[in-house]
Amino acid sequence: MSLSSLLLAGRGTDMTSYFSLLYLGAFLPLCLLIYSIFPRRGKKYFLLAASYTFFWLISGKLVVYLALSTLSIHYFGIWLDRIQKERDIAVKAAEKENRKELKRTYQKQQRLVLLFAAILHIGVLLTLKYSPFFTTNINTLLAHLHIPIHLAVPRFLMPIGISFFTLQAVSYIFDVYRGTIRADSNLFRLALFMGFFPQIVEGPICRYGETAEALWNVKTIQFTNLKLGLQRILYGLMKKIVVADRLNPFIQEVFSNYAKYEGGILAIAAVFYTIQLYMDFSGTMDAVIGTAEIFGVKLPENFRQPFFSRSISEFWKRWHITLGAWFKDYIFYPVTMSKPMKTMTSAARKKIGNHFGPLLAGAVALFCVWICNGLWHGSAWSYIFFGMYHFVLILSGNILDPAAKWIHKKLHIQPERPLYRFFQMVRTTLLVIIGELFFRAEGLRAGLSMFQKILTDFRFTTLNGDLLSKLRMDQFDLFIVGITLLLVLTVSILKEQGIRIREGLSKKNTAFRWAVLYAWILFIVIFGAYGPGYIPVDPIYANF
Amino acid sequence: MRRFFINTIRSLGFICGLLALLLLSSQIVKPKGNSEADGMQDPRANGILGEAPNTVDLLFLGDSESYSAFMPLKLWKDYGITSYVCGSPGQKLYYTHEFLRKTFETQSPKVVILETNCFFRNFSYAEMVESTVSNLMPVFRYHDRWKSLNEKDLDFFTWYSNLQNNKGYVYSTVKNGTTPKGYMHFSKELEPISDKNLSYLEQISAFCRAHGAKLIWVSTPSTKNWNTPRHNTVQKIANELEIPYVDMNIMRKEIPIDWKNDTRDKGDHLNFNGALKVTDFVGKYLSERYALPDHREDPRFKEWDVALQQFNKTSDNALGYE
Repeated sequence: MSLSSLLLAGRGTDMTSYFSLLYLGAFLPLCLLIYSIFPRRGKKYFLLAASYTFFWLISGKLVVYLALSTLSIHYFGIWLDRIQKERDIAVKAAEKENRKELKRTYQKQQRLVLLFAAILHIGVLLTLKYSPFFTTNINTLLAHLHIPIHLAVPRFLMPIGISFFTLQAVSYIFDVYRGTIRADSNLFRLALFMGFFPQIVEGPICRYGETAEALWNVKTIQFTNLKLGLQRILYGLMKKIVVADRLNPFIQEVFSNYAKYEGGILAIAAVFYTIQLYMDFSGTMDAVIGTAEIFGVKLPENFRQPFFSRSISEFWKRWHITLGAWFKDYIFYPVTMSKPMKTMTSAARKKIGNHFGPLLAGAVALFCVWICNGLWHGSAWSYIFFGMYHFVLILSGNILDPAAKWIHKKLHIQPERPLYRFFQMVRTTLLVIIGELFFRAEGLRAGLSMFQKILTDFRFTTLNGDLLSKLRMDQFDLFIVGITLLLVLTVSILKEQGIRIREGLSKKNTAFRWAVLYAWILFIVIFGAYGPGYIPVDPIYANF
Repeated sequence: MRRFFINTIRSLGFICGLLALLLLSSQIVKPKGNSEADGMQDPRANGILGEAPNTVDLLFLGDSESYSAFMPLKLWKDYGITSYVCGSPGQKLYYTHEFLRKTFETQSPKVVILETNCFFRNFSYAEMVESTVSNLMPVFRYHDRWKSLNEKDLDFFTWYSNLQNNKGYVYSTVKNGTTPKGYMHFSKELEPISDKNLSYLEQISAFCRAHGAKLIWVSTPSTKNWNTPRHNTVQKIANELEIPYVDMNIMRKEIPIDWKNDTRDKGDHLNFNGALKVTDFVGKYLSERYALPDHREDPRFKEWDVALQQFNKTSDNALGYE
């Protein structure tokens, strides 16, 4: 028996889902128990050890990627910090007229270090995640051109969560470069920020300035935090196993055999998939944020009632918020604020006015953001299409904004009226569903074919009990999904109104609280889609 | 400190209440009978729960290989041996262990035959724990029965009376033959077996020993599933645990399987022809080594004749009945 197998390396792949029995029933309770009895000063080190143990269990030897990534940004950060310190001393000592030039010289040095660090990290991600895709496409192109060369398609083992921790690493080094944060001289603190176990698989993508200090200063578990954290995990569990997993057989069957089904059924599958994706990902985020809450750490929210969005651009401010914010801060702004873009904007302002002028540079930046967003989700044309689809929607929204305002004025439409807001939400949701159809489809061609069928063959004639039973669903499943969605909708409305439900519940008397919790737990146990006959959906975002 | 104690006691109180509710809901959702209509999982294998207490002398355990190869009604007809196949599709050893324990609650088999294909079917710790928890609280296994609950379920009383006429055997006359290549070629290799499976094999062996049942491991013929490295591994463990091991894949003279006619799916499982040959051998083997009682003249076992008649009716008199 090898040492790695003896130490259970990669034996915990079941724990990739934060709702797995192994994680919720063994790893997390054990972790909380040991954490509680650990001396106060050592708690942070235990948390770091637990995080690396978790990653070791789910990824085995691939944990080396996380360790090397952390180690490298640690030293890149220190390197940048040293340059900044040298610059400050040099600038202070220099004559006033030389200071600008001196700053520029140091800025160049910093930029080189930043570039080197970013290329290294993004390069590893590109190699592991995208080289098979690029090589396959090059081979297709060569075949089309009748060039008898065939490149071997590389296959790499990719550590889970690499897309998430790479973005955290790049954001850290960027923030040090920008001077938003100081480089961390403590490797362990940085390692905990990078590898904190509840967030390593699916995010949220945290910023060093937001969470590193809080993680490093963890204290004794407070009973209130424990209660609130567990309640949040329970809420996520409900979303995941009652809704996302219950819809899985239908979605899998229809998307895999779309040619057999009518457009109406394909449209239902697209709606179901959008619900599933939201329930799976936001449910996981509930578990992640809830777990961090137990330790007294506040992680950034990744969802803010996205289906209440009135436009696609608002949707992306409410859906996978930390990814959107990352692209905004580290791609959109740097591109918009770059010299060529600034020159282009001022030239465009003069020619096409103050509204459309800045849009040009914005469009270029937006294009970069959405091509990256598409590719970040996966190395396939369907993901690039997904990115471009949102790029076009957001850009056209920006371009048509004055026209929309003009139409509102002419038609005496008051955009703030509830009915019109509702119309905007429905419209946005429909556009999102179309995007998710391409996102889930098994390839771009399949997505286009499904979309075409929805437009040309929108029928439900075969949608009956027989079909539902073939798709391993019945009216009871739909009823339970409906009830749960209604529950989630109610919670979302209350949250939108700023009402804190868990805090409200904690103020009620014990009998009421326990009754609610018992009912909630039994609801999940009885109506959850698990056990014989069910195949749980793998954590969707863990694959990105 | 006082606050800590209050919180701990409250939490324990909450957990106790939750456990009570889970046990209560388990009583409601758990199947009240052992048939498919009652919602029982693996009703064919669980048919043993419907057998009269202490009437089954021989128990077969295993995956689909077991219920395709062992024919209890033939053993009854030829030797008067009462047996049952607690085999289920893709059975894993923790589940085999459950069936074994469950069977011994009402039966006292003298011999247990364990088909070896499931020795190489891996499973995770989570599956194992899930199964154990589900046994303690059936709500986790049968929660989906909420769709078919009725007032009978509020009785909490279970009545396992459903009998399986084939006694766990799956009758198939489908012929889908094969020409095996490289089947059971000589090799010194050992197929790896997981620690978890090994541990369950030891537990099953200890359980049988503790309950006075003789355990035998049998590898039924299968060109698709069996090979020499697997044989070597099983033989090695059998020697270590001192368990008799019969590999029918290397007994071509004693069990002359014709792979063109005796398999229903190209060598994966045996069909009725193959099962006849295997069961013939098992009958002879047992009668030579173990004195299992012949119950054919015992009026308490009339039900077995009825089952045989029923089987013959539905299988074009496949086993014949005088």
